[in-house]
Amino acid sequence: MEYFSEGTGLFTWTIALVLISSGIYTGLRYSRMKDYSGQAIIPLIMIVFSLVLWAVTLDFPTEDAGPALIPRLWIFWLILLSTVLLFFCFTGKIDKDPKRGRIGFLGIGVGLIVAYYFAIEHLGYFISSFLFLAVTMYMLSYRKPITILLVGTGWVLFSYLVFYKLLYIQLPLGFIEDFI
Amino acid sequence: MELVESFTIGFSVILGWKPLLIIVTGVIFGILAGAMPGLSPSTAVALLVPFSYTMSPALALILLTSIYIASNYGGSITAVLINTPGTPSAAVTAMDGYPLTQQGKAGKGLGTALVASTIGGAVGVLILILFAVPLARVALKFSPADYCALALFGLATVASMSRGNVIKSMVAILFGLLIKTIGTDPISGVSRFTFGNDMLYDGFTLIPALIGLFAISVVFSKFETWTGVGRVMDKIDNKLPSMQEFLKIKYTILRSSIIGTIIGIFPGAGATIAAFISYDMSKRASKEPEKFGHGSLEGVAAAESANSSSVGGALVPLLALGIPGSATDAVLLGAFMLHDLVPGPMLFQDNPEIVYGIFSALIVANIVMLFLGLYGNRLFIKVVSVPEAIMYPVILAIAIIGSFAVNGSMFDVAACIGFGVVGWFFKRYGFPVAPVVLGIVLGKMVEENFRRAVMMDGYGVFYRDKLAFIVLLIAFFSFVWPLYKAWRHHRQPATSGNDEAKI
Repeated sequence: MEYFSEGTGLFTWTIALVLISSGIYTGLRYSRMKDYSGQAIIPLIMIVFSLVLWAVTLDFPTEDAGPALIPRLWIFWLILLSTVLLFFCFTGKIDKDPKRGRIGFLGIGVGLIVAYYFAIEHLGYFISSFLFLAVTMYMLSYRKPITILLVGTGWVLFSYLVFYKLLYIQLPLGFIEDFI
Repeated sequence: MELVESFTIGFSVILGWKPLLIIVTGVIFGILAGAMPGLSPSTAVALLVPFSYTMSPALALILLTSIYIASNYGGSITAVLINTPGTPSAAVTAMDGYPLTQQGKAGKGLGTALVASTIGGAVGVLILILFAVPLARVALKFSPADYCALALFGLATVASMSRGNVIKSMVAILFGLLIKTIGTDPISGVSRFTFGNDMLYDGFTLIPALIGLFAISVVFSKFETWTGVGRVMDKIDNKLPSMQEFLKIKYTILRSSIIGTIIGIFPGAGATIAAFISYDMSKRASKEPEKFGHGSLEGVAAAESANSSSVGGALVPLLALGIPGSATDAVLLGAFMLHDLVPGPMLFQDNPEIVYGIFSALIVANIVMLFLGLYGNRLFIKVVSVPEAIMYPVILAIAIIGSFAVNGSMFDVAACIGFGVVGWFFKRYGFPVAPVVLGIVLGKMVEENFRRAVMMDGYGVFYRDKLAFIVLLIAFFSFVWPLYKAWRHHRQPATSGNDEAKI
């Protein structure tokens, strides 16, 4: 069993679990209980997550009250309760899935914050923060350029004075570091 | 005499222009954050933790507790004016507060909410002082098994008292507990679940995780339901209730304050349950129960005094035992850790200036809140009217810089965004986020004490140690009872033609 605790074994184990859980989700999605399929996502993720971590604990030192004890205890209960939730999804004894919101719009929002994360490292904190605020406000249908400019500049000044100067936080400067 | 001496120390910490300025700033920020729908007290405190990074521990905690107490009142402003509770507990305030606004009596609603919050907050602090100090003394004698049992009791009650699905709450807690096991094992030093990543040797940093789960997830949820329509606030009248009207509701305020504090002491119960129970009890005790729900000042007073007094109650287990009773307390615990402090009985012995500084700051913050509320409500309403299209990007910017500031690490920023996605996903499918945080916060306490107890006295210690045994028994029943009730309810045939009960 220890083969599955690291390297190729762990990778194979993870892929197998992901495939099985995807199969369960797809089965539910196209069954007459499809209104509950979304509710199954988190229990399935929890089961996969727990089983992957359980495989890793096989490599931990075996001793009484050792490092594997508590993780395995939580894993046991997490799998048990997630399975109960999954059972409720199949029997319809759980709340129906929420209405589908603007997932695409949310995706753009998440994409912007991820882009902001990478931009901080390359463009530096101050430039990327200004850009992030301006673009996000525009995305949220705010169309007053002067206010957008003021909020962006105000935040950059505020973060420079409070975090950089007052709290001595070494914010990433990106390429402008070469010019200072 | 000892208490007087301790308070002399406490007040010496807060008397000075700097601490007073911090209290005023905290109260203003707390009211504004509480008033903004979507920003709960826990989000407000989490967002400000990084700002307190370089302050002295006492000043940092004074700032954060001032925000905590004021944000509970702030929630009532939008609840009364636009029927949009700024905080979950203010939903009860809206039931009578908004009808008052519709009747052109918004000033009376806000005034009642303010005075009830102030008195409730003061009663909560008084009971906090009376309970926390002796409890901390008793807690000095607790064994590791007792601490483990108390932490498990806290987690069990959080699960059982959460609104909605108990199993989902338990899954959320277990997820938090499992996340906490990532990193170096606190006892043997073995690396667990780090997958060779150096950044994970100390596990996930608490503050970025909290900011992600509380702040970023809220913004993501707003994005998903984005309509682009902003809030509209009408002009309000500013006429406060008369002294006669206040005197009429004095017993309601007092009763609800006591109920709120006691409920607040129980982990997981929190301000919302306190407000609902107090509202219900006040309605039963009222001479005019028919007015409840139609603009009753008693209704507003009951909800507000209870939710504000619950702050003092919730701080009892945090300060005396190191067990957070609510999501905001979990954030405060994170702030304590950030400043290398461990709440619990030893804090009263080693750092009395911090404990009594917090007590004194809470008293002063209540007074500051009363004055700022009386004279600044109009200004707060203007600030709260800031378009959401500006507010949410700024919250994201604060969250990112806040998570970076803790360790100066971009890994923490990535973790913060990751936890934000997890939080949004949890919320979307009805899994509460606060239990995840409580699991992360209490995970170390449970594990360390459990393993120490087992290593010292074997597994039988949880049976032999009377306190641990009783607490574990109560924890077990407090978890199982709601499950049993849901099961019974489910088995009963539907009588009203509604959907069958969901467990």
